[in-house]
Amino acid sequence: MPDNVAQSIDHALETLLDALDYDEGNQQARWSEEVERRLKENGLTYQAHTSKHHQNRQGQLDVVPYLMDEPTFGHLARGLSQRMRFFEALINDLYGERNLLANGSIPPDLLFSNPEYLIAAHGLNPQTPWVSFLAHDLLRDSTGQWFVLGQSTRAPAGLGYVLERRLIMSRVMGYLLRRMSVKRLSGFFRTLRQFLRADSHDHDLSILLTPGQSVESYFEHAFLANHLDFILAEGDDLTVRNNRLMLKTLSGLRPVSGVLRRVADQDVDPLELNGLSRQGTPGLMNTVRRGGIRMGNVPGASVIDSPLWMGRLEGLCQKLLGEELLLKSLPALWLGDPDDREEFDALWPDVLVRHASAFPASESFVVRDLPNSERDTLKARIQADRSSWVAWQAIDLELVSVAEENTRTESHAVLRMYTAQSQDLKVDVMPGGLAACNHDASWAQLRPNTPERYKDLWVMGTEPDNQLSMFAEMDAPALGPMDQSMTPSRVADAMFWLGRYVERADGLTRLVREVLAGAIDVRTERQQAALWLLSARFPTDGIDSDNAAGEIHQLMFSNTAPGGLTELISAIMRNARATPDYLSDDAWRALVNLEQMIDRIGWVKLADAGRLLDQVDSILMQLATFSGLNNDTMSRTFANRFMDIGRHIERASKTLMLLNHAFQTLKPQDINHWELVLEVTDTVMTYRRRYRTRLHPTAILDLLLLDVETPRAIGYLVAHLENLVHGLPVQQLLGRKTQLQQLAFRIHAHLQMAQTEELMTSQGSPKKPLFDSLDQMIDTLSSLSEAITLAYFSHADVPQQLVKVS
Amino acid sequence: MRYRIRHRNRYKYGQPVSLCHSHATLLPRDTLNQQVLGARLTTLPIIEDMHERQDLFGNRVSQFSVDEVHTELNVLAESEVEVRPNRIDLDRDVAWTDTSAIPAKTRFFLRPSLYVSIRNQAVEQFAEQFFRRASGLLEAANALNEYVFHEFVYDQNFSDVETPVSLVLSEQRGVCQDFAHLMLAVLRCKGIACRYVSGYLETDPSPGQPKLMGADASHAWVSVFLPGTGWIDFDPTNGLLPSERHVTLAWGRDYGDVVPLKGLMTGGSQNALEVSVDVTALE
Repeated sequence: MPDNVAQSIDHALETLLDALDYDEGNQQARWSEEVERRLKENGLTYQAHTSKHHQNRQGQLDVVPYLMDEPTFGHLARGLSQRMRFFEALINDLYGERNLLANGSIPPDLLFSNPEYLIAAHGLNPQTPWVSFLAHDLLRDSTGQWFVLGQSTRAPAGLGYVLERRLIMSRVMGYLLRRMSVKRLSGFFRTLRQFLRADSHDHDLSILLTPGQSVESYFEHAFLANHLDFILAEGDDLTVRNNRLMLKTLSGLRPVSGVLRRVADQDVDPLELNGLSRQGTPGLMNTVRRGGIRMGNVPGASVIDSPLWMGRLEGLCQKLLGEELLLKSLPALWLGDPDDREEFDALWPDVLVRHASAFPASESFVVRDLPNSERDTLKARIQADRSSWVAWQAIDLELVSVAEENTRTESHAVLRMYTAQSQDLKVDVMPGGLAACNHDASWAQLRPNTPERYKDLWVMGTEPDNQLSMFAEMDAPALGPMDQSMTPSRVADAMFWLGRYVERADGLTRLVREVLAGAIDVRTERQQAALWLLSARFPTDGIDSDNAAGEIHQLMFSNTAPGGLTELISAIMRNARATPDYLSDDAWRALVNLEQMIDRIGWVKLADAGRLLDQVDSILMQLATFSGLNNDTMSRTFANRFMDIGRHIERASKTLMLLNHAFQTLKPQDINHWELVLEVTDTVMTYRRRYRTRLHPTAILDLLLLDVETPRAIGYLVAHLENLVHGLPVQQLLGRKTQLQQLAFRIHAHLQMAQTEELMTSQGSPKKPLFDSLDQMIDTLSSLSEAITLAYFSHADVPQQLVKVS
Repeated sequence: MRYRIRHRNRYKYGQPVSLCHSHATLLPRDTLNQQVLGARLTTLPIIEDMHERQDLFGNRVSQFSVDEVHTELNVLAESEVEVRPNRIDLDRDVAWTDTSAIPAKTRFFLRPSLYVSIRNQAVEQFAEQFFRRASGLLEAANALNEYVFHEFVYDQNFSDVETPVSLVLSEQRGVCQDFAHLMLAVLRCKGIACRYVSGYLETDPSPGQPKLMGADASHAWVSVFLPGTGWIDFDPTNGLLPSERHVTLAWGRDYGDVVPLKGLMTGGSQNALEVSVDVTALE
């Protein structure tokens, strides 16, 4: 059957509904389920990326897309392009000549009440457009007339979600997108990427500047950075030297020339702007001022985000461009104006009210729904600062269908559409976007940023696009392999500690498992051995085999236990979240599972050692899964090398300390104890195969210290460590490389020289040189850790304020 | 009167600093009755790339960074200015309720700012005594100026940059910066446009002249917009209307717009600042 060319919206709608209604609507239900499942899958990754208090992922995805035909898109695109030009001219005037203010076109209080008005942007004269990317919220009333509700320069929120949701839709119902000639989004993202890369020097970097894991949209930032092939960087990863913006990487400072900014305008430079913010980089504003970088959007641009402009843009466009605004703004009242206020008083209480702040901070009210006391409070607040408020009469919004199991109900939609602007002011409008749906028309137009659900916006072309494949939106950028040495220092630092903490958690979990297993053993000598093992790490006063499970639960899983598993897992998560794009999705899932298990154990009071043991076993499995995934599926980047080094150092140190504890306190005949030493180091099988004798301290030392083939033996670990250290980047770090290598070499050599006879008596008792040797190796490992920090992570130093002058 | 001004700032760090970005508002501007004859900003370690520009208010802002390891940063501002007497005609007063004649750009000085919040009940109550009786804008401002001078205690150990206006009001003490902020808050809650002025006073006045409060460091006072006339300065710390003994450095909505010197350093630890100001009359 030949593909039908969807010419009209009616025809397209028919195609769509036919497909959804297939099998009495069960097809729609099936697709909904699959969309939900895929969102949830991504959601798991999302949860892992974001600190716990942000875990409400808003906005389900409706399986019924919002359909738009090409003529309508063309009409909106012309209007949005004009608005892009208009806003550019407006911002230029606001921060430049200020003619509109002087000649009375803009009421002064309207500008000065705008919380996004940034006086430091005056005279900035950026070498690039003020606005590179812009999001518009549009709505259509019941008569079919289009209005613009507002615009957002916040670079622009939701762009990553658009991509994510389109990917899901095309995976679930790809053939429909083809059949209906739905336009692709990749062209728009290419424009976006080009803008920040245009005429840049080959070696310069482009970054996505994010506030980091403390914000809800961090996952979106990581997703977008990944897709655009930009480095995800935080303010502290950057520094300004000689008026150039530089990224602190493993190979030193590297120049940055393109910045996609997701940090709020006020927060980009603590020197010139908000001095309390830690999200920016000192001196950044001056690099913009002096033309050193292209930043989208330029700080100050968010002045147009405030709803205060709503009723005022028509006149300004006429003045600035000499053109009529093609897309009308929603006719809103600005309460700083006496005439508007009169109209507002007449409408009260059938009116919607919004404060001057931009989303997401903006407060908004459906006055009709407020109890009398709250109405009075609101009125008093408006009275006290009239120029900070806008109001409008709710627009009668068009209705759209949303899926509800195997049938459909109605809702209201506000469209979010995106535009990009190139260096030479060419505007590109994304043929797609999101429709924010809310069944309540008032809330739909007051808070389009927090809808009940989203729809994918499908713009249908007149030509079928045969190129569209399921993965077409995932076009990889045509770039060479990325230089690994450009890994930000902070990321390498976090990977190093991630490695150490994962290993530490693994060791601790093994120890807990053996202690618990010993505690429930019927043999007293096994129980004693278990407590001896615990005493290697924790004080064991007052613990006996009867209360061991409860005590261990307390030591390991209470939120306040220092050095316990709960504390370790949260350290693991903290470091993992600092490196979102260096771990695979599966590795993330393992971490999320781990975090959830720990949560569960912490809540349930498990006094029963057997049940606790089961839980501990599953934790161990997740840790092993995580480690295995990183070893098998991730390429061996520098960042991963730091994780490996962290693991090796941690594992070697802990084994050395265990040996020290064992040889200090055990006698050769403490068979049960020695067996536990092998158990926690996971070497029981190796020992049996290799020595085929009963347990003997000298053989144990031979295996755990000197062996070069057992992955938990010091001999093996330090040999690998030396290799790993040898492969670290050395550019600009020549002086220090020697010291690092020396340390790694020293410990390896020390071990190679060691002879069992010099360390042990023939009866199996330790000699003094054994303890000297263990101590020395522990010290050297700790020096190695410090030296790595100094050599590679000291770039992560953060700036601080000088004392204030009064 | 002609003055020579030397304003020295010296940061001493606990540990070496490898990078320091700074932002200075230390070079005086021209005003209606003040002409800057010469001004320069120098530093040690020496910085070759000093970037100067004008901010929104027309103040001279210098920006520079020290990109080498250093344990001490000296910033010296030297200038020579000519100040002419200010002829103020208090008879040209207008009703303080008449705010319609404030020009568009000047209305910026009506809004709340970082250090001057205008919605404070205590401040509003305090304002009443000056505006209930007075009908004229200058009359009320002058009464407020003198009240602060007579009733408030100049106390260098009471406040710091972050001390809120409400505390200055309830304790009736502070330094020039606090008095200026309080006066701004009172005037703005009545819809009067006014700005914060930073500057200097003569350090050692000629014989017979009393030494004014705030002469040993930067000084601060207030400028009030009188519709139809322009800006008129008030110095609540000394209870007078500045004339040729006040040298203007810069102005803004409050201290936050005209911080003399701020910086962010990488490395180092504790730092201490020494400031000294010398203002010498040349004739």
